[in-house]
Order: sequence, then structure tokens, then C-alpha cells
Amino acid sequence: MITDRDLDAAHALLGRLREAIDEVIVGQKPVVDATLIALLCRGNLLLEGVPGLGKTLLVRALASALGLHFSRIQFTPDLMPADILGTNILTEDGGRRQFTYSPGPIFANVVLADEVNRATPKTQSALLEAMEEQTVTVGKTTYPLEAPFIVLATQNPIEMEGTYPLPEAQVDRFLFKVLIGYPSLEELVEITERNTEGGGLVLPAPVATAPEVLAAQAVVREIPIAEPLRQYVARLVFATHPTSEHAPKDVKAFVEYGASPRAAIAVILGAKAHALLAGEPNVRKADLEAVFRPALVHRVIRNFKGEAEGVSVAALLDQVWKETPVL
Amino acid sequence: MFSLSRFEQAVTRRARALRGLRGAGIAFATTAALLLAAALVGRLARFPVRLDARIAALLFAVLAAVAGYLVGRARRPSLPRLLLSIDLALGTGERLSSLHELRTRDAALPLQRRIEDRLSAAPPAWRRVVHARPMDALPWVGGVVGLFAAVILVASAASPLPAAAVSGTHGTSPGSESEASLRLDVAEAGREGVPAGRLDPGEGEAAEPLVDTLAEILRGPPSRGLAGEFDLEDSSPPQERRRDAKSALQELLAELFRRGELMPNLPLNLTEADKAALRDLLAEMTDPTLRQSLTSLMNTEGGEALEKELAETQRLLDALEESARGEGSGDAQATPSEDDQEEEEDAESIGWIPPAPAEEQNTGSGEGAEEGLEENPEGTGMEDESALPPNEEGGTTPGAEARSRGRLPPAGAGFLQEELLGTLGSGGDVRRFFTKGVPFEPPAEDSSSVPVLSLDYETLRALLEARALSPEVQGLIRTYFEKITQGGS
Repeated sequence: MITDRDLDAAHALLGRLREAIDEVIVGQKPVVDATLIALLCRGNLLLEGVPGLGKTLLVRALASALGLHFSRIQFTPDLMPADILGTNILTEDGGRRQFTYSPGPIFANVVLADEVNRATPKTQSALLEAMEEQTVTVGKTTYPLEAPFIVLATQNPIEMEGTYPLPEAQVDRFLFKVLIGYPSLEELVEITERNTEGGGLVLPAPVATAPEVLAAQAVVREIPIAEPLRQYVARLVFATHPTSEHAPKDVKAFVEYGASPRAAIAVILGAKAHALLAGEPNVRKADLEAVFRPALVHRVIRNFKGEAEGVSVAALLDQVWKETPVL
Repeated sequence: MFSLSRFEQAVTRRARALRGLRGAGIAFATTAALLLAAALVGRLARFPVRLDARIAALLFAVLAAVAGYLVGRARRPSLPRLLLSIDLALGTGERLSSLHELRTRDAALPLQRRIEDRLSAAPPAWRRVVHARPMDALPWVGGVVGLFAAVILVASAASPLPAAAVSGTHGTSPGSESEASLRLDVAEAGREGVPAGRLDPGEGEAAEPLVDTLAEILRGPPSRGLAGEFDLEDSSPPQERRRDAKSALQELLAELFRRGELMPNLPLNLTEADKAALRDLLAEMTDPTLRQSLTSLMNTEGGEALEKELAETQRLLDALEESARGEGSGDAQATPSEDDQEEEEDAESIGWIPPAPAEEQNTGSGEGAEEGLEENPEGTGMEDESALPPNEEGGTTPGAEARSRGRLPPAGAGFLQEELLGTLGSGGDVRRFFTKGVPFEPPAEDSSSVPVLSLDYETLRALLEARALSPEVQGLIRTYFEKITQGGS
């Protein structure tokens, strides 16, 4: 049972976090919101954008503001699963040799998987268990990860040579996929100012603790959503399936696979977090709209025709949103 | 403080009432559509629609609307959906529906309070959105239009229309529609050459109002109303028209024979003009044999069969003329003038009996009555008290009155409700068929156990003339009675 105090604390935490991140990141409000929502929903975030847009900086700023254990994994083609998860090493203690588990960089609260699509699928898959169940299994032993846990992965849409697209199973485990766009002219001027004057870029001081984050995560799940809105979300997700009778014409023509049930969970949970972030006591249709596209854009797989004709998934989702009635 | 329970009660009440109204509208419109369809089918199929049936149909529409209201009201709306629709319409941030969701949860009391606080600060003006929409009026408008159209349809089926412009239907209700139906029946029968006396008892029962209407025409005060509706180009007296009909038939037969002689190598055929002329003449003729012959003539294909039919018709016509001439010379002493004798001669030759002077009707001698019986041995078997003048004791003497033919009814005789015994053609018992004011030939005293009724045409003609009806209407009524009595006297 949540109390007024929990509610107020969650609002205060989010305010502080946003303020701290804004000290480092110029603009990119939707991206910052999506990051905070992912944190509140105990989800993982896939950030996609060309180099130099501040993806890594955003994650570092968040980790710094949270005051939590942060680790960064730079994904490369020769990266092995053990480099992420850790491995059993032979140690000698008092003349007695034994295997001892040495945890990998995945054992942190905030994990930055930088350029995640540069590692091989085998290595990428090493993240699956950690992202979904917050546990790591090495050998016959399963190790729990410390809460709160969040994986923030980045990937570069260009320079695709030598990259390995993320397998669908792994993509589906990201709560949101956020596309980072270029900053505006004014934002760019401010970015240059912050990075070229004074002592340079300084990461924010910690403004939160792990228990505060966990309490905020608990509050999010109590945010109410009306039953008809829940049904609306289900219809929206169904409408992304080409075989669904509710699917728009373009979805039927250009989509191979629609969104999974995880997508519906992501939308509802994300909408709850968005409502909390906006200071609302309940989920609104506007909250659903705000998270609908980032929650589904990486879960809808186009067919050959869709890819060949260059139909964007975002456009298909816009059509689904427009053509699916609330009631 | 905002009270969700009270809000939900008010909204539900209003929503149910609206649902009831919508259900009533749909039921009303559906019923009206069904009634309209029934009216259309009834019109096309000539199905009789009685007045009480129409009233019952309207009542049914009203009852359906009431039932629709009750059914619609009984269906409880989905409260979450209703609240969400109000939320979306008012832009309340989905607080109402979320609050409803929270009511079932105890773990989120702070959230519930915050939502209630916000709703109290800005109470939703829900009456603006939970109301009858313009679309809700559509079924009502449609229903009213449908009912109106159905009523118009039924009424127009019964309104007086020119016989030539209407394909015909059985009238089913009293009033003007009966008159129209009467005309239509007769016109239809005349066109199709239906043998006289073809109406069966069932049809007779359905046509009962027609006879009533006809009786009303016969009994009512003189008026030119109906006459004004028709072209009065044929204003010649009836006797002249009958003579004309006979001579016209003679001429037509002669023309047909002449045509056959002129083109001996070609099969003789009737043109459409010939058939039309025959049809007109058929309407004028009253002799059943001659009518039958003319009908056969019209229906014959052509060639040798047609020539035979022509010869047969000519033979019949000659025989009738011969007979009329013989009777005319024998009755010459009994007739008051040559003109009268000529009238009777001509009329009898085609089945019409000329009227006798009014004095003779009321004081008809035994001799005259006996003559009438001899001339028309089948025209007996009815007790038409109201159509006959009273005797000295205030009653009637049917036997004596039966001897007076062609009499006029006394002014204001009344033609009260009559119940006639006897048979009519092959139709069987007609007691219920003829009701009031129909001038029937009274039955003879020594008639058989089942008397045969026949129409007193002279009385009818005199009545019609006294009504100052146009020739067309007179012909129409006359033809009608010819149809139902197989000719009469």
C-alpha cells in the first residue's frame, strides 16, 4: 500500500533526477523522459542514433545522478559472453586450488552496453537473462543482480558493416527503443558552450539512492488505468498484427510480425510511469500516446515488401494509432 | 467533495433513459418500416386492409416503441466505458474512469484522494455530453415518415381514381375507397370479359362495403358531385344509348363480315380497335347469352373459329331482335304510347326493361303482374319490403308488387337494412352480401324453396337517374350489378 509520502517522494525524486540530467544534457527531453520511464518501470532502454548525439553521456549522467553502481561495456566483435557475465577462475588459497566466480561488468545497477550491435549474437545473447530476470547464470550457479538494475544500450544506425543486428528475442526485452535526433540550433549552441568553456563537462552529483528508486518503482505500479483504456492498448497491439481484423491496410501489407504481449505490458507500464512523471495520479490517453511508439517501434517486424519499399515502422504505428478507436 | 457513487448513479440514470429512447426509436422505426412494407405488399397484392387493422397497426407501432424503451432501459450501460467516454468528451484526463477503477482497490487511497480533489476542483459538466444526439432523432423521424407513407399508401389505394388509370383493387374499408374499388372491379371485369356472376361468396363478403356505399349513393340527396368528376359528353337518354349499342353491334358485325368477304384468302382477325369496340358494347349489353357470345368473340384467336363466333353472335342478335319485335306487337294494346313501346322493345332486346309510370307501380293491376311473372319466371323469390310501397295496412304485398315492373321507389322510401333470402348465380346464399338499398326484383309467392334473386334494373336506373349521376357512373353501377346477378331482369 502506498502512502501520500511515497507519492510525494516519487515526484520529488523524479524532479531531482530531471534537473540533474538537464545540467549535462541539452534538450532531448523525450529521450530523458524515456530513460527515466525505463528506470521507473524496471525496464531496459535501447538508444539509437548517429555518433556524437550524447547517448553515452546521457547514460553516464543518469548513473551519476542516481549515485548507483555504473558499468560500461564497449561491445566489439571479439567481445565474449564471459567478458560481460564474468567467469570462474582457478584460484589458490592456502595451497588449495579451486574455481572462484569473478563477476563481470554486468554486475552493476546501471549498465551501459555501448554499440551493442557490434558484438556477435552469442555475446549479445549473454544479456538476455540479465535484462529479463535480473540474474546471471554461470556454470551451474545463478547469481542475482542488485536492484535497481537497468541496461541502457546504444547502437549506431550507420556504419552497418561488421555489425550484427540484435536478435528479435533480445530486442523484445528492451522496454523502449528511443531514436535520438539532432539537437536544434539553439541547443547546439548551448552544447558547445557547456563543453568548451570553464572546466568542461562535469557529471552531476548523486541526487538519489537505490531505495528511493525502488520506492518510486513501486508507486508506478499503483497508478490506476481505466479498464477500457487497458482494452484499448490490447486492441492497439492486436492491430499491429497483419492477420488481425483490426489491422490497418498498410499493416496487413507491410508487416511480417506484429508486437508481442510484452509490448502491451510496456505500453501500460510506460504510461503509468509517464503519468507519474507528469504529476498525474492516473493514466490518461495522452500517456499512452507518449509511450506507444517507443514501446512498439522495435517490436514490429516488416516483411520484405515493407523493407523494399522503405515503409517505416513509425509510420505504420501512426496509422495504427489513428485507426484504432478508444471505445 | 466529489462523490463518485452519486455521480455514477446520476450518469447511469440518464444513460439508461437515453438508451430507452434510442431503443424506442429503433423499435418504432423498425415497426414503421414493417408496416410500410406491409402496406406496399398489400397494395400490390390487393390485400384488403380494414380500418380496425390500420388502427391496430398504429397501436402496434406505439407498443413496439414502448417495448423498445423498456428493453433499452433494462440494459445497463458499461459504467467504465460510459465514464471513459465522458472523460474523453470533457477532457478530464480520464479521472472519472480511473477513479472507478481505483474504487475496487484499497491499496491506492492517496491516489484516489488526489483524483477526487482534482474532480472537486473542476466538476465535470457531464450533462453536456450525456444527452440525446441528433442521430437519436433519426429513427423517430424515419418512423414517423414511414408510418405517414404507409397511411398515405393505404389511403391512396382507397381514394377515388379514374378507372382507366388504375389497375384495380378490392376496396376494404367504408367510405370513398369503396366507390373506387367498385369502379375498379367493374372496369377490370369488363376488360377481362369475366362472365357474369363470377363473384364467389367470399368475395361478396369482402365487397359488402361496396354495396353499402352504392346504397348510400342511391339513397342520399340528389347531387351533381359525382357527375362533375366525369366527362358528360354522352348526355343522350338511356333508351337512345341502348338503341345505339344494338345498332353499333349490328354495324360492327356487318363490318367484320364485309372484311372477311373482301379478303377471302386471309384469315379474319380482330384488331385492337375491334376488341375495344366489342368491350364497350359488352358493357352496354345485359342479355347473358349475348354477353357470353361477345366474350367468346373477343377471346377467339381468329380465322375460322372467329368466323363461326361471328355467325353465332349475329344469329343471337337476330333472334333477340325477332323476339323483341314479336313481343312488342303483342303488347301494343297494353302500352300507353308508341314511344314507350319502342323503348321497352329496344331495352328488352338487350336485357333492359323500360320503366312504367309511377301510378302503375303503386297500383299495379293483377294483369300487369302476371305478365311480369310470365316474362321473367326466374325473377322471383325475394321479400323486398323496403323497396316497395306500403299497402293499405302499412305492409307490403310481395306477390302483387312483383307484378309491377319498372316502378320507381317512393321518395324517401328509406331502403333500410335488408336481409335477402335466395341465391344469386352460382354464388349461393347471398343473405349477407346484399345489405341495404339494393333494388331487387321481389320474389313470386309461388317461388321454389330456394328463390333466385334478380336485379330490378328499371328501379335501379330510375334511382340512378334521380341521383343525377353521370352516365359513366351509372354505367359503372349497372355493370357492377350485372356482374353479380348474371344479368337480372
